[in-house]
Amino acid sequence: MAHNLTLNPRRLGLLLKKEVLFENKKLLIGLGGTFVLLTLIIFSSYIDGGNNGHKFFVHDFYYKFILIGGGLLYTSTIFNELNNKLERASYLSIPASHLEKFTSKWIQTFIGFPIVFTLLYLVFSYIIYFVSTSFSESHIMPLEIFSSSNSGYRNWVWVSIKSYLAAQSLFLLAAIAFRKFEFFKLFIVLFGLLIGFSFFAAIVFRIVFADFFSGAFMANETINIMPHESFEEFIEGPFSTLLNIIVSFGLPIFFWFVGYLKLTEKEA
Amino acid sequence: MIYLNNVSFGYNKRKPLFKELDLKIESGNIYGFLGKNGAGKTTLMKIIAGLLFQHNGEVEVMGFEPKHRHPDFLSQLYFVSEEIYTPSMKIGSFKNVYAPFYPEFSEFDFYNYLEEFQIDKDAKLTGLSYGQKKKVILSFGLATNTRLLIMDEPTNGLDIPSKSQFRKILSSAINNERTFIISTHQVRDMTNLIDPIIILDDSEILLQENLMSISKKLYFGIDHGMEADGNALFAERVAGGYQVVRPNNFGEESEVELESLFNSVVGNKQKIKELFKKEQHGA
Repeated sequence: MAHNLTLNPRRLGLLLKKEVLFENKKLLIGLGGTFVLLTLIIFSSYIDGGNNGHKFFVHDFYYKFILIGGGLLYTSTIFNELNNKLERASYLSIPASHLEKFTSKWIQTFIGFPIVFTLLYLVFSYIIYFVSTSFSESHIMPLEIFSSSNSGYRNWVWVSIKSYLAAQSLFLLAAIAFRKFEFFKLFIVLFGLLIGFSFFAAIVFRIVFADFFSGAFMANETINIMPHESFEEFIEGPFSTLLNIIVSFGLPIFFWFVGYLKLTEKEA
Repeated sequence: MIYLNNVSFGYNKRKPLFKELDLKIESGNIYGFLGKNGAGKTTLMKIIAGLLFQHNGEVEVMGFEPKHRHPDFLSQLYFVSEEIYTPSMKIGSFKNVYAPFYPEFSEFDFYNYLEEFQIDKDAKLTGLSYGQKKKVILSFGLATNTRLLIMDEPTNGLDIPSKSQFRKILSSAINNERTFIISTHQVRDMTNLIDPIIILDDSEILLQENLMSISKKLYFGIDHGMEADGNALFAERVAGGYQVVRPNNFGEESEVELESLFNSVVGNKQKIKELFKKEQHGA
């Protein structure tokens, strides 16, 4: 099938306008609820800690957890128009190319969500900070995007964003490929693949090291599996860098491409 | 405008819905797709709209292959499905979000049609009844001024006054540049509106003719006798005699009655094919 790769900025803008105005209500409600819950959790922990003048650095965990967990959940439901037959027909009939439709969702999940969430969290953490300092001598320190060396926070923001972005492509693909429960189905598929791969590795191991086995189990012999020094250097050096590049850039590009192709194949 | 050549499609590989289907649709008409439940009317319209992909054969609509869903193709087509999807928003917002995708959209026409259908333009879509929602979507579809407007059972859910308003609006909206395709079970709603007629049955197109050609070949009338004419392709008892359809051997003038036409075509497939084929050769 020939694909049209039209990417018209006007139509892309119209799609984004439609998404922002009408499709993101659930996201805003979800984020609002999360911040309310987080406020309760943080203040209950803070009250338990007493007013002893301590500085509390509580945001790194919550920020990371909500950005990655919430972001991936959001990404996995971004193509919710495709779940319902009527909505699917309506969405596929919108005069925009597949690439424009895919890009509008990609912008929301890859660029929009991390930026909007980080800004909202920053505002939220400062509100919490000012409220906490108004009522006690203890301080719930606000989130720092560019944390200094003497900060209580490490570089969690950038590490978290990087982790989210690396995983986003897989969840975007799941959003297109699965019709319902995309988030959970993806975990089931990944779990299945892990089990399958483990079995495969075990069988290969059994065949390669057949001489050391007696039946299904290993005989009482010791195999020295400590790698050679040069191999260790290779694993920690160039191999690690290569793997990092593949996971951070190669796999996302591959999953985006497959996701785009899946979108072109959708029928109503 | 629309060409289907040797098109095959089926939801199940063993049971095709269409096999080697050919169809040609010209612009400037309101085409009526008639067929029993499951005959494939909606499927055929979805293939034309690029929402389903044919398994074999070629489909060309306004110079585009629908399955590629090119934006220039989609901006010249509006599909009103039988069950409609309306997002949770006000009518004005719906127009603001979706209308810019259609270059020929007329805001004046849209509000005019809404007024004719007596729909409050400030209403929220989710607060409307099924029939009212359908009127909004029909108004929007007509106001897009797309070259091709496909409507699947458009009068389902409309009350009696709205059906006549719908006919009136549709008649005023058609022009030489536009084509409307309507599928319906409720053929009485479409009287004096659809022309030509396309009748689908058992994976094939049984009839594709305009009303003039049909009335030349078939006579529609009432026999006032106690028994139906033996040559009738279709006869139904009515007050004072029989409503009949028979070959128009004497060049009588009559008005095509869609329900009787459908029943006579579906009940006499071979005879109808021969009758219309003979005329085509003669022409």
